[in-house]
Amino acid sequence: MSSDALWQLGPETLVALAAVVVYVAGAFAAPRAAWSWVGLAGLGAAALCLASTTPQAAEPLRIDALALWLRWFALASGALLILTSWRPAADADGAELLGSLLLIIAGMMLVAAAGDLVLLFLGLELISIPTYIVLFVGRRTSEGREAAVKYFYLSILASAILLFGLSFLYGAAGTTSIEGIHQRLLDGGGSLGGFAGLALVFIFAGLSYKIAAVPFHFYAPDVYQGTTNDGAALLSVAPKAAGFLALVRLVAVAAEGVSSDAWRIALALAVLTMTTGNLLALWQDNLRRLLAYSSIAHAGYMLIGLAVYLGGNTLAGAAFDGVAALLFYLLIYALATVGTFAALNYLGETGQPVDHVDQLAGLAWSEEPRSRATAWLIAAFMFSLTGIPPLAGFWGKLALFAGALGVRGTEPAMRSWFVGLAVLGIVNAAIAAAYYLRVVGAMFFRMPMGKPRTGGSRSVPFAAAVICALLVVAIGLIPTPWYEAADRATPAAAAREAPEMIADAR
Amino acid sequence: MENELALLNNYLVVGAMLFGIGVIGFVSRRNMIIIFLAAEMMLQGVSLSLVAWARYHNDFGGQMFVVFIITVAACEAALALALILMLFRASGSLDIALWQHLREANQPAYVDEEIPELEVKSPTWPRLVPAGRQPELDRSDTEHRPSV
Amino acid sequence: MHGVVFPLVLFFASLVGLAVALLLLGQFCGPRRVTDVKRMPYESGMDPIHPTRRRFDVRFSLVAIAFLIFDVELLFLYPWAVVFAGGAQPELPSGAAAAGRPPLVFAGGMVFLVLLVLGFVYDWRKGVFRWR
Repeated sequence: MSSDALWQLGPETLVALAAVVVYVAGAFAAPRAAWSWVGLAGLGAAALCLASTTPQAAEPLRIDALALWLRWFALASGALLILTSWRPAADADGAELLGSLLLIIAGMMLVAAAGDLVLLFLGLELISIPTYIVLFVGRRTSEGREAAVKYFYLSILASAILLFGLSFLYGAAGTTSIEGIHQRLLDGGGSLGGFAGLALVFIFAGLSYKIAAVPFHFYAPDVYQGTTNDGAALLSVAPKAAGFLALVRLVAVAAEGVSSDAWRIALALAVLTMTTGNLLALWQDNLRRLLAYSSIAHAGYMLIGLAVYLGGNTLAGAAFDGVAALLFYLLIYALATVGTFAALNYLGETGQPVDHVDQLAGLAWSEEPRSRATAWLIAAFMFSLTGIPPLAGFWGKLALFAGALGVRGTEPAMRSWFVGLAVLGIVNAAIAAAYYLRVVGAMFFRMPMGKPRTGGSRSVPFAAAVICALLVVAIGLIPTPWYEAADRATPAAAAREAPEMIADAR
Repeated sequence: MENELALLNNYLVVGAMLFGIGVIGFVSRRNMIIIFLAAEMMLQGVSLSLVAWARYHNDFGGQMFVVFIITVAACEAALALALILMLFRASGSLDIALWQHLREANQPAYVDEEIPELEVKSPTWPRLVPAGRQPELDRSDTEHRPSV
Repeated sequence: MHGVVFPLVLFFASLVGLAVALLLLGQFCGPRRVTDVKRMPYESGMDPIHPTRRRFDVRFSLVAIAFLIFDVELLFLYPWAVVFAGGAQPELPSGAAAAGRPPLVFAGGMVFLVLLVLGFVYDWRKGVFRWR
């Protein structure tokens, strides 16, 4: 680690520093709202630092366009998560929750910047370990404990599986640097190349836990149901973003060309994940459980992007790169999901979160204007998650499915596989409409049950929901700059620019 | 070189066996502490194969990786101990199958088949013939403290 | 050659023979009467006061958790000390990059230790070390 690398890690350091300040000072005094301001200030300082640092190659790091994209994504989603979990009341565990949240943001940024297996693993753990604390401390009930214990045990299992894969990747290449592994494995890796194929399987298995994809998805519904709404928002953004970035880094960059069958794994996982998620979501009445299955289904959609990228060799006129569509979709999914949880947080009262679809019944006809507005916000998020045209979700799905249709393929049957994938994706989107619209239907077409919900003093989560909704509408109306930002971040774009950079150096 | 390859093979096999034993323990045990130990054993298997690869490639990256794995494992162990302690306080048992209230709405709970009650007989020890001076015992040393 | 080896062989043979013979003698000739007193867990002549399977106070676990963290973190100080002293091989990339700048290496270790101290302060404020 040279001093250049230390300067490049400035934003991560600032966020972690804010976390340390919040933890230690929180042990002396406990005003929750004040610590939230400190957290936001830390994120702002990190954003300033990120904007003012010129990216530059520094050995254990990999500061490319993809890293910058995810670091900005982490900062922005982190700010939204802080607003979502904002509570005015003095709260004994407020400092711990906020410090853990900041560490998770720092972990996402570290995963983004990591150019080395060790740093990548440390970043992923920096996301997992504080998540255990958030799950346990966030809700001290029997359900909260059960969610924490389920997440904890399965998470260490997944970490061990991922590490086993990383050890084989290291063994096949003889170096922990991702760029070094890429160079060594491009020509098949010699006599040890077989280990890289084995590594690929373990890496897919280990990371599918983080992104809640099929072989390891079954924790998600229970854990989401058992935790708070802000905990669920955190779970649906942080591990997913970091897991997908690690997948792109490890499978699409480091192990590029190791196996011509990598796209088959991604394609099979995508089909299984989105179908399982959508079908099982149909039966759910608990909102967080429903959104957990929705989170699984959306992981499946995003895996389409990875499969498209791994399939490679797109048709000449294909407009959509797989990884770009993945990142674009990740942004849109994160906005809609965090927004939904923020709106639910606004509706709930301390100790009594909104967790049942029935509790939303008749919300659109509530007495209070803000509750009526919340109904419209949630409806916007649900429509975006479904993929109804004027909203952002439509463009995300369009990019993914059009990308799948654009794969020409290197093998005879490959194109038909990808066409089938796109068709299955569209069928899945239609199934998903059923349960998203059920939530909307409950809010607009059912009689209110019990006393009408009033948000009370929780205006900050409401503001977070409004920001998310504005962004969802904005991306829906003007999708091009957002997609192009994601497109510039892909490994394909880096490969396009690499010859020019070498020419510049000369 | 032949020797090195044979050495690598042996270590990889042992590492994979440790990992496999860990997986089996993880899925088959129900005591929370033992499940955690099984996960630790998986990590040890990974560490062993990383060190073996590092020796084979004559590269220090693998060993560095192991140092960080050990640290992360320690952090997880501390959290696991704390978590298990809190769960034990809440339920009075280390059985992980007690934590199954969160599940699909119409799915029945998992219930054990009848396990015969283990007979716990507190042993009766003989009294020794007292000899010498009676030691002065503090009351708190002999009393069973039920607070955990 | 023969003259040197033979005494040694004889020595070792008698050594093993004596040990086995003594063990066998004890095995066959010794009387074995199992009494309650002999089956007691401690042979020190103390009456046992309670079964060994008793619950420990929770504060022991707290101290154990704190110890676990601080103990393992010390793992990082050994490589740090070696690099700082310049003992790292020059062909190691990480050692070479750092060894050129001892102040940076020193500052890195100090930052690490300060963070540990902050963790200690946190533990202390939260009352982990308060025994009663």
